[in-house]
Amino acid sequence: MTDRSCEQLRDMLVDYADGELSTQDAQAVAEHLADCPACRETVEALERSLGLAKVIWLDNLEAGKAASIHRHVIRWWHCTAVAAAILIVTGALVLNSLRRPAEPEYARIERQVADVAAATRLLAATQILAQCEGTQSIVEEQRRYILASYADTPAAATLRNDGLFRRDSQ
Amino acid sequence: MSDARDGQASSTGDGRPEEAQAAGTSLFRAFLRQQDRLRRIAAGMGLAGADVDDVLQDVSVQVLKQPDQFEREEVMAAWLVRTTVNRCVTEHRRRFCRKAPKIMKHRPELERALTSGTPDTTDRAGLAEELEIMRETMAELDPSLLELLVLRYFCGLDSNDIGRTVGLNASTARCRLREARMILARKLMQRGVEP
Repeated sequence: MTDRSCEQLRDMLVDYADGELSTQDAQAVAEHLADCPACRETVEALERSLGLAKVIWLDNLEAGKAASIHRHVIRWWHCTAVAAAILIVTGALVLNSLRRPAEPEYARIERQVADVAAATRLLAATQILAQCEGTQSIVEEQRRYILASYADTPAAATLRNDGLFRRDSQ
Repeated sequence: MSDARDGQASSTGDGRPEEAQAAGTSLFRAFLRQQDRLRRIAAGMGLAGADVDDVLQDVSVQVLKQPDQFEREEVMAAWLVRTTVNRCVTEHRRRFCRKAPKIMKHRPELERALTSGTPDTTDRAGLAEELEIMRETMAELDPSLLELLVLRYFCGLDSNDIGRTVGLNASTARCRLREARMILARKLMQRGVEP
């Protein structure tokens, strides 16, 4: 095959790689490819580059979904959680400077910090759920759980103060 | 916001354009139905998670501003795709001008996941290199070509639909797709050839 043949068939290589040529044209390209390593390499590169592009697209989509879920749950509430945790840790340090606590005291403080963060995140998720239709029973269940399991946290106090958990008070 | 609009659409029934109450709602419902596809387009155009959310947010605002002038679902879908693609292209150009973080972020974990099944070290390195070449090429590709690739090969639209969506005739769309495919392939073939 001459260079001219390669030039003539070049525009058909993408369609050939995509399987979009008529039987007759596909046959002509296949015959050319059998004798032309350069065009064969091009078709292989066309197929391989598209495969890699799809991998990158899919990966970007999945990474985006994961980031999006994470962002929705903690987007503006994570600041509150972090602030609350910092306050408790600072308080603990101040207490520590006033009196040296026994070793179990640290464990208690650590658990408190974890509880505050967990309750705040749960409350954030509950508030997002509350905006969706048909989730009222789940939302109430969730609020009840926060009050029962994390009664001493700012999140539980928010629920009580805002009167968001009415069933308990009834 | 979306729930409120959706709820409004439900209450108005068939969402006919002549009903003032229903203005914009059928398009918004189409937006909700097409959201996955629009997310796919934005991700295909190389935007990261938070940026994809921002794009969809902007599109939803445009949907709400848009008078309900479409009667058929496919016309609405084409409008939504076009609006999303335009917003992504704007984001590409904005980043290019301001040297903001690059489109098509490098993700070492993808290389790790992909190459973990490849026993040979040379093959692993080769695959990782090819991925990097592709990522860079797609990031540098003219967004008007990238959008065609995304619509054709990531969203499965045919040349006619692509042409209608981006305002080209089908043969021009096909021609530009070939051009884009050849750019990607050539970059891959140049691997290891250039000094």
